[in-house]
Order: sequence, then C-alpha cells, then structure tokens
Amino acid sequence: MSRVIGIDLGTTNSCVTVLDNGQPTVIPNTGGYKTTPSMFAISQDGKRLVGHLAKRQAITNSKNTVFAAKRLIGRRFDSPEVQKSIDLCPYEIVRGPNDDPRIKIGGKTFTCPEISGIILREMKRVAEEYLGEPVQEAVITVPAYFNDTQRQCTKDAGKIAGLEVLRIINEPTAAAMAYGMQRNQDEKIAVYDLGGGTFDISILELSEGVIEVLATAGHTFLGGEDFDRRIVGHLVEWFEQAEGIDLRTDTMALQRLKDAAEKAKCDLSIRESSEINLPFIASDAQGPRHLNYELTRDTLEGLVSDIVDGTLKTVEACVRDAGVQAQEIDQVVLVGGQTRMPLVQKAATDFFGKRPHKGVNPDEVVALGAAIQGGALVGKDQNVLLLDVTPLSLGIATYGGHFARLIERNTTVPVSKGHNFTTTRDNQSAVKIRVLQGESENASDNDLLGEFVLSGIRPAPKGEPEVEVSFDIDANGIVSVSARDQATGKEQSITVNATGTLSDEEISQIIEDNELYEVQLKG
Amino acid sequence: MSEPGEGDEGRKILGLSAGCDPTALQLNPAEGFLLSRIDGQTPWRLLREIGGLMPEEVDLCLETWLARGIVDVAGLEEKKEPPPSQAPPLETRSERSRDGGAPPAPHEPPEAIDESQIDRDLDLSAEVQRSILEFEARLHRPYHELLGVERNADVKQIKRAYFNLCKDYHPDRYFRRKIGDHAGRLDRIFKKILEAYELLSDPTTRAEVERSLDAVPPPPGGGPQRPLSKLERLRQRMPFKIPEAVMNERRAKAADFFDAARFAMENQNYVEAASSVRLAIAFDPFNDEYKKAFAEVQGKATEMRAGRLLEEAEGMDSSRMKEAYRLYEETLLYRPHDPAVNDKAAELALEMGELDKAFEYAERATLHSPQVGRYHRTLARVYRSKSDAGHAVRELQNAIELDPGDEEAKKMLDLLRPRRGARGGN
Ligand SMILES: Nc1ncnc2c1ncn2[C@@H]1O[C@H](COP(=O)(O)OP(=O)(O)OP(=O)(O)O)[C@@H](O)[C@H]1O
Ligand SMILES: [Mg+2]
Repeated sequence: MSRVIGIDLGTTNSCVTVLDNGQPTVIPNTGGYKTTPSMFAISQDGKRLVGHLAKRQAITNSKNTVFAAKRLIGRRFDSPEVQKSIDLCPYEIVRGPNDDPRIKIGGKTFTCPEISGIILREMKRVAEEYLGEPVQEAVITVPAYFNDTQRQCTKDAGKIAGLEVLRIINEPTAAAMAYGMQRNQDEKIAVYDLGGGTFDISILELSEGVIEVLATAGHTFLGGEDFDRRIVGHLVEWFEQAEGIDLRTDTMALQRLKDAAEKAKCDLSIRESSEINLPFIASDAQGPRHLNYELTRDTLEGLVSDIVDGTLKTVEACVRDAGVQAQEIDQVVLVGGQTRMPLVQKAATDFFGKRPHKGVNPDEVVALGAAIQGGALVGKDQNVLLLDVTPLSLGIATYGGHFARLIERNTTVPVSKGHNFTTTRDNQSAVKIRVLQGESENASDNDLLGEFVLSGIRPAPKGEPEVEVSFDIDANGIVSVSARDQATGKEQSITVNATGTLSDEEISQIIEDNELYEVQLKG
Repeated sequence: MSEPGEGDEGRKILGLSAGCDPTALQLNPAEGFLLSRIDGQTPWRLLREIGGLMPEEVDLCLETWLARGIVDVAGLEEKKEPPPSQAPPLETRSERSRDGGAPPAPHEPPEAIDESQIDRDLDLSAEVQRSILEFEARLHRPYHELLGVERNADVKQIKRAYFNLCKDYHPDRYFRRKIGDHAGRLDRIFKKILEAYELLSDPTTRAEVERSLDAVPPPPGGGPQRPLSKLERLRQRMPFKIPEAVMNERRAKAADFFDAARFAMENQNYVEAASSVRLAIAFDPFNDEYKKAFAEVQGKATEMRAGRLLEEAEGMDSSRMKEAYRLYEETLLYRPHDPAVNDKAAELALEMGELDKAFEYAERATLHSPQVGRYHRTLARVYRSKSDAGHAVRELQNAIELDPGDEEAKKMLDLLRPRRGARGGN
C-alpha cells in the first residue's frame, strides 16, 4: 500500500508532507525549498511552468502567469470576489459555461479546479521523487470557512491531479493536530491563520488525543495579498504625485510593484524600514523614471491596521461561538506567513492577553497536520481522533425568502437533524426544497447547494401537510438532504456535494488532456 | 484457579441435563430467570452478566446446579481471536477506564444481542462487533447512561466520557475497513452519543432532559424509557435552543395570525380562518386556546373547501390538466352529485386516458341533469373513445335535441355517420 501524503494547497504557497515512522515530515522540492509557490504559467514558447519556475518569470510574463487561483475556486463568476479579482489580476478571467470563472492564459482556457489540479500534481510529483514510489492518496487542506462548493472543487482538483482525496480538512484544524502532536495535556487553543489569501480562526479543545473543534470562523477573501495591494496602492499614489505618471494601467509596472511590495512587507517584519528601488518603472517624454521609496513599518501599519482590526472582530465572534472566554484559551497558535508581521502578533497578543506559542513553523504546520490526519484515518497507530465541525449553517429556504437553519454552524459531524415544514398555499401539491449554506437570515444571500421538488402532497389547506426535512452530514462531510411527506410517506432526497462546478465527464476530459500533455513533455 | 467469569471457565457453555425437570426445583424468581437462560448456547461469562443476580451469585447457582446434575457443560465458547497487532480502539476501552480515565461502563446489564450479527469475515474482531451491537441495543437508554456517567456528573466528566466513547465509536476509527452493517450502526451510535453530549453539556437542554427523566421514573432494572411524544422527539432532534427574543417574536406572530383567524371566522370565511389558526399553532405550538379553536373551525372549513377547489380548478389552463383533474376528483369527494363537476371530471379523465373513470363521471352527470345537452356530448365522446359508435351517436343526437345550437356535437355526429353509412352500404 502506498503512502498517504498531506498537502496544504495554499493561496500563495503549497506544502507537501508524509508520515515518516509516525513522524510528520515536510518534503522539500527539487530546489530544496519546503514550500512551492502556487503558481502556474505558460511561457512565451508554450512551456508549462509550475511553482518556482512559474514565479521566476511572473513579472515578464504576467498575463500568462496564474497566481492565487484559490481565491476564485468554487465561486460564481458574478460574485464580488471574482469581479474584484478581474480588476486586480493581470491574467484574464472569463465566464465559463457553468457560470464559473475560468482562466485564459497562453491561448487556452483553464477551469479553477484544473489550475489547482496542476499545482497538486506538482506536489504529488515532489513527493514521489522524494519517496521513490508512486503516491495515490492524499489529505488536502482548505480554509475552514470554505463552503461546500469550494471544497468539492478542491476535491475535483485532487482527482485531476490523479490523487484520491481521502479527506478534505480545515487548515486551522490541521495546524491544531500538528500542534497537539507535540503536547500531552488537556488544553483549549486558538489557531489564528492569516495566509496569502484567506483568514481563519478556530477554537479547539485537545484532550488525550481527541481534538474537538469548538468553533471556527473566517474570511475566504482576506490575506497577505490584500496587504500587498495596500502597499501597491500607496506606491502608485505616491508616484503619481511625485512624478505625475499613473502606473495603474501598466501591467508590467504593477507586477513589479506587487513583487517589491511583498518583499518590503516581509522585510518590515524584522526591520523598521525598507528601501523600494524600481529603476525604469516608467518613462515619458522626459525619459525614463525610477521609483525610489523608503517604506517604514509605521507607514505599513497605518496602511493595513483596519484589516488587522477586522480579523479581531471575527476572532471575537468565534470565541463567543465556542462558548469560552478569551482568557480561558491556554495557547494561541499563529499560522500563515502573514502572522510574521509584528502588528498581527501584537493584535493577537493583546486580544488573548498572552504571547502566541512559538513552537510551530507557520508555513509548514498545516501540511504536517494533513499528514497526521492521513495517518489517523488509514495508519496503524490511531492515537489521534479529530472531531470536526461544519463551518457554515445549513438549511432551507422558506416562505418569504427566509433561511431556516437545520444544522447550525460549528456542529460536530457526522450529524443528522430534521424538522417539520408545511405548505403555504391551499392545496399546494409540491414543495421545492432549496438547500442553502450560509449565515444570512435572507435565503438569497446564502449559497445554494442544490434543490429538489417533493410532489404528490395530498391536497389540504395551507399549513396542514407535514413535510419532514432531514439533513445528514457524514464523516466525510457529504451532505444529503431528504424531504418526506408524513401523510403519504413519499420521499425525495439529494446528495448535495455532488455539485462541484465540473461534471465527471469534464474531469475525465481534463485528466485525459493533461495526460496527453505529460506524454508530450517526455517525448 | 481462574475466575469463572473470565478464562476458560467463563467460556463454558451450559445446557439443561436430559431428563431433568426444572419445575421440581425450589428457585426464587431471579434464579428461575437464570435457569431459563441456560440454552446450550450462552457461555457462563454472559450468564454472569444477567440482571437480578450478582456475578458471584450466578457462579454459585451454576456450580450448585452442575454439581447436582441439573445442568451439563454442553461445550466451549470459541476462543476469542488473538488481539491483532493493530489493536482496534474498542478493545482498549477497559484499559483506559482502569487508568481512571473513562467512567465505568454503564451499570445496566448489556442488552441481549443477536450473536448471528457477528460476522467473522469482517475486518473487526468479534469482540468489537459485540460491543457495537451491545451499544446499539442500548441506544434508547437515557442519555447519561449512554455516556456512562452519573446523573449528577459535571461538564468535565461528561466531556471526558464523550471523548472516550468517540475514540471507540467515531466512524473515522474504521475508515475504509471492511465493517459491513456495522458502518450504519457506528453512524447511529456516534450521532446518538453526540446528541447526548450536546444535550447534557448545555445547562438549559440538560434541565429539560432531567425533567423528562424525573417525570416517569424508569422501571426498576433500567427498562426502556417511556416512549416520547412526537413533540419531545422533535425537540430532541432539534436540540438547539430558540432564543427568547425569537420566541417572543414568534408568539407575537402567532397572536397576529389568531386575530386574523377570528376576523375571518366572523366573516364566515372558515377556510381562511382554519389556515390562520394553523399558522398560529405553528408559531406557538404550546397555546391551548389556539388548539381548541382549531377543532371548531376545521369542521366548518371543510364545507367550504369544495367550493374553493372548484373555482381553483376552473381557473387552470390545459397545461395543468393533471392538477385540475386531481382537484376535480377531490371536489367530488365533497360534492359527488354535482353534474357540472362530474362533467368536467369526465372530460379531464378522457384527456388523461382514464376511460372507465370518464365513463363513470359522464354517466353520473347525465343521470343527475339529463336535460343538459353538453353532458350528453361528453358522454358521447367517452363512448367514441371506447369505440362504441352506436351509443356515441345516440348521445350526440340527445345532445343536439336538447341544444340545437351545439355545433361541436353536430360536427362529431357528421364524422361518425359516414362510417356508419359506409358500413350500411356494404
Ligand atoms: N516575514 C513575513 N512577514 C510578513 N508577511 C509574510 C512574511 N512571510 C510571508 N508573508 C506573507 O504571507 C503570505 C503567505 O502566507 P502562506 O504561505 O501561509 O499563505 P498560503 O498558505 O499560501 O495561503 P492561504 O493559507 O491563505 O491559502 C504572503 O502574503 C506573504 O507575503
Ligand atoms: Mg495557508
């Protein structure tokens, strides 16, 4: 039996791990790096590049270099997040046939699961090279606040990469598993995960190998990328004032700015100020212009303090959901590259009234946890058990556009819950069950996961028929919903998670295409 | 010497000796019960766990009966499988309890399980299978018993008990293993444990659970709980609390609906009144006044429904034919003799290809109102569909006689006649 790998498929960086004699271990890529940029590019001469190779040519080939595809996956083309990305990304984002965003580079259109699949395939390759044997199975992490469609799409990405995804687990939960592995005491911990594209906060309780998620919350569109954007915005404004040239429409310049902004931002985590030097950034009648700017930590903090404050509001809500007091938290674990920023560390320290735990590597801990969960599922020594929760409430739309929750967010899975509903019109013979996920009281603001109709209800005045709607989430997170007419016993049901944005045929087609491409590469 | 309950002694299977008449024995009820369990299949080990007697007492009885030749050793229980190197978690449970970790297993005797459910081909030892079966058989027990905690256990103890049970019964423990029907059992068990944990770790729901336990004391010996009312069952399946603010909002809504109901009742609009009361009850299921009013208004509403139904069906276009047909049939339940309804139902039945029904309705319409031409025309159409041209022609003639302006009937008649003429000509 081949080994199970753990993959942290990050917005900016991905990391792959494996259990080595029961010890989770990061697998370095060929370049010796422990993480690989989640980037994919098609070079001018048609070559496909992944990871560091893609990153290296990003500035000169920004139109054909995909980054942060995780911010698009599983969303609708019309969603504000996708629209925002269209404004900000140098690569082209087009509407797909299923109203999903697709990415057009090098004259070819890719679905988001396909892009993620290409990155996962690279991680698989890294692992196989290191282990010297084929790898088939993986546990993949996603932001805790990912909804069902986003999770399903990530699973599809795994399939495209030729991996069987044993389980999708939440990033902060994975981090807690890796953290808990080193500890042997009962404690409540908070995992604050601020990565490149997403922010998650989870409160967990650890006890004798059982890890119970008490509550989880977050933002799937907030991360280090947004910090970078603030810096870029600031630089563009400054340059406009200083030199009278607007860089906003110059893709190449923007790409260079973004690159420099991120470097400066990281620099400022250990220094008080950082020099940004971009010669020949633009030119006009008077000749070439250079950008020379000294960014201080103070300025940076001023630019992003509202983002950091915003995360604390989410933290506060999550702590409340967990039914604990901030002081009761025994340890605060910081995860994600952006938590290296002193301002973020200070915010967490102030909020919880204690200094964050130092013992884990924020770039690797999520992936390590994925390998541990892989071992817990199929391995020999099962001494950890994860009691995970469903991050978003599930329910149905009711009369007047309201959202009736059947499973509250943060409910431990597997679980089933049922409730009786009734008709709203006299002699109504059918009810439509619209399965939704989200936190809004308004049905239309939540994500539609699927719908079906239960017909053949006996004619009766409104309010009289009893239709029992039951929700079931199994250990794999698969949601199924059924509706049953109590009078006739008639039943209808759906398995919700069948709905990624790709059909099975499309997936096999993509796999086939990629295989063709692999052959090409070798030949 | 090994303890009778464990070791080889415990695996002895006893049977009644041939020729022994147990009724001749002087036994108290508990001993009698024990004797009745001796069936040539149950090992000593399990007999010890039978309620009503202490294990030592069981040993004493069995030893005495063996000595007196009342029972025989019928065989030996198959040896337990050697513990596999990859120890399934269930087997470590007793070990954990010895650590002082887990609470003692429930004090109740295990429920009888069907040993035939134990499948040796599965990737689960018989021991584990047995404990799954036993746990499943106990799922109707009170929550604290399921978790194996005392009724006054504190939140910490409850959580610990829950965690320990999770280690044994969480479906992930058996991920991808061949466990047959036990998968469904584990799912049920885990969900129930989770429910117990959720209900008992929240003070409000816990108080409710305790109240329901106190309301009817369980029969001695921990028999099954009193069956729960539908509402209670529902509440248990929906263990989340409705916040007071929301509840108040709901009560207010209920009152509004009830006002509307009263208004409708005054205007003799009973159908409307009935549904308003129903909605009031939906929002505030605990209000007795609403429930009483409902019974009264329901009777009157039924009368008016048929009228409504008819109106509704008539407003429908042909694409909703099926729905209309259903509504007309429903209306007939209330007004079986209404010729217009019967006629309409007949027409629709004809469209749906239900000839027998169509005939029944069409005939009924003409019986009740023989003087209306178009009812005869409908009946004629039914006959025509049944290839009974003779009757069809007669009914069409009736129709035209009653309503000389019925062009449709004439056209139908023309279409039918030449054929008849042709036949006559041959
Ligand atoms: N020293 C540092 N100081 C500040 N920010 C940093 C530092 N190092 C990395 N970052 C930022 O952290 C982000 C990447 O973090 P990480 O690799 O954890 O994200 P990810 O896992 O790819 O994304 P996500 O978890 O959101 O999907 C980038 O925005 C990067 O600029
Ligand atoms: Mg991350």
